[in-house]
Amino acid sequence: MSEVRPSPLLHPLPIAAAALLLLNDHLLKPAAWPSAAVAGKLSDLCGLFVFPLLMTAITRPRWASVWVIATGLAFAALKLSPGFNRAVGVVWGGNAMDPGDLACLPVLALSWLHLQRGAAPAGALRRAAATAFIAVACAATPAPRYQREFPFWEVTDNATPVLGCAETAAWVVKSGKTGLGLTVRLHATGGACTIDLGGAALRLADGTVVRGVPERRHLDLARCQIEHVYLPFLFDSEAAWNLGVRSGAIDLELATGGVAHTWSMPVRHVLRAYQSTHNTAPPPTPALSACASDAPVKEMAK
Amino acid sequence: MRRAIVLVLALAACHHHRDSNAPGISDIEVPPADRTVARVDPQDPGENMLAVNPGLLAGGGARKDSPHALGELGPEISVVRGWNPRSHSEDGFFIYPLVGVGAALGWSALRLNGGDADLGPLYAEVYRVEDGFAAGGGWSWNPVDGDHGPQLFGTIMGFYVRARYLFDDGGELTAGLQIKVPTVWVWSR
Repeated sequence: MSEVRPSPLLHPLPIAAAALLLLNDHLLKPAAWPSAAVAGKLSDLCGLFVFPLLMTAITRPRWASVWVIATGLAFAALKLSPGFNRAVGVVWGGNAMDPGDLACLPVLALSWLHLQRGAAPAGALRRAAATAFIAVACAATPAPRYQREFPFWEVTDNATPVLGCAETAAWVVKSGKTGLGLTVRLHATGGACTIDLGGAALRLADGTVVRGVPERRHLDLARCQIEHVYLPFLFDSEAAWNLGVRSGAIDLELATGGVAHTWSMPVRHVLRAYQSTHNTAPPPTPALSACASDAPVKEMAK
Repeated sequence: MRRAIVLVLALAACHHHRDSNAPGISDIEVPPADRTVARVDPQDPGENMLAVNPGLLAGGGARKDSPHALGELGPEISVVRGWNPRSHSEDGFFIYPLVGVGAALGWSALRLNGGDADLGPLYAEVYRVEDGFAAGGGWSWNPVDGDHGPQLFGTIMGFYVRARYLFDDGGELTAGLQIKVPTVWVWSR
């Protein structure tokens, strides 16, 4: 004959909260419905309500207040302490560090009130079933989602020289197994500017030279006009990566206003991590200088 | 002792990332549609995987011409070389190739047939993995009496079915549970 004892979990309220926690974690949260913020708060509310009840049910009724306070402190630490958040994340899955979630803490008062009311006695089987269901709801937090990161070539220096009548900027816009694509921005800050793009070469660290052909070679820019030119370098970037050849320099021959320049910029192939939990925002493109078409033309440094 | 087993399982059942072939797929020849963008993200080429899976098989079945049920328990180690068309997005316990080929060495070590317990055959198998299913075949050989013969098997998730024909003992069919602790190396396709 199983022992008949009361359990704070044998009540529609904690059962419904646990069911809502499961539904929210596995359906509403991934769909961000009705919004990511609301779904996130709903999990916190349900979790904060049922967790002290669960811990009281599997320990002793007289520890109810201790579990309510401990849950509140642990939740606050989870939302405020990066170290604690990381440690919990290792065993329990990721949890957003948002101090705004502390607004959910008052629900612990409801949890405490529920623990103070008498619970109907029940057999071991019913108690075990309710405890198992709520424990699964608390433990089955969705695993954090990761996104693959890929190495990307980057211009590491001399990305924005002023070359005669043009302020220039360059950045790697495409990078993959078959090479890299460079965007060259030309800004006629020094008045009307004629630009001729000549040869371009990517010199890899192992001595390999890859020729690049700009999509346009001749540009006549009006004062303050901005143009972008795409410059692909096709080579076996995957093989270079696997061989450890992950740096080099791009040399671009160009003439601005009839004056020849060689623009040399070092590049590096960088992988920050195999995976990340969020989209890594690309670095912004270099800032543009102000260029008022009615301002006097300044003498630009070569 | 139980803690030690849990610790060993936790350490063994894991996956490791390697950065070989890491660049993504990008059509370099085609300029970006918007020339002013900072970056066009590469596309996912998917992942290669190598899984080493030591474990135990436990099951039961029947042998032709035997009135008793057959029970078996034994170790197996398999290696699967496979790939996934998309890179994994969870870092949990079960990172495993969806498509691949594998090879296994095993031993149906303990055989219970009626009241008798004896040593069963060693076996080697090759198989194909496809979306959680695996099927293949191989050869078994009993080092005690030299009996041998072909075998076929299929698995789905943690369950297996094996049909074996030993030239002296005849045919048998067994099914059961395989408990394996995979260690998986993952790298880009």
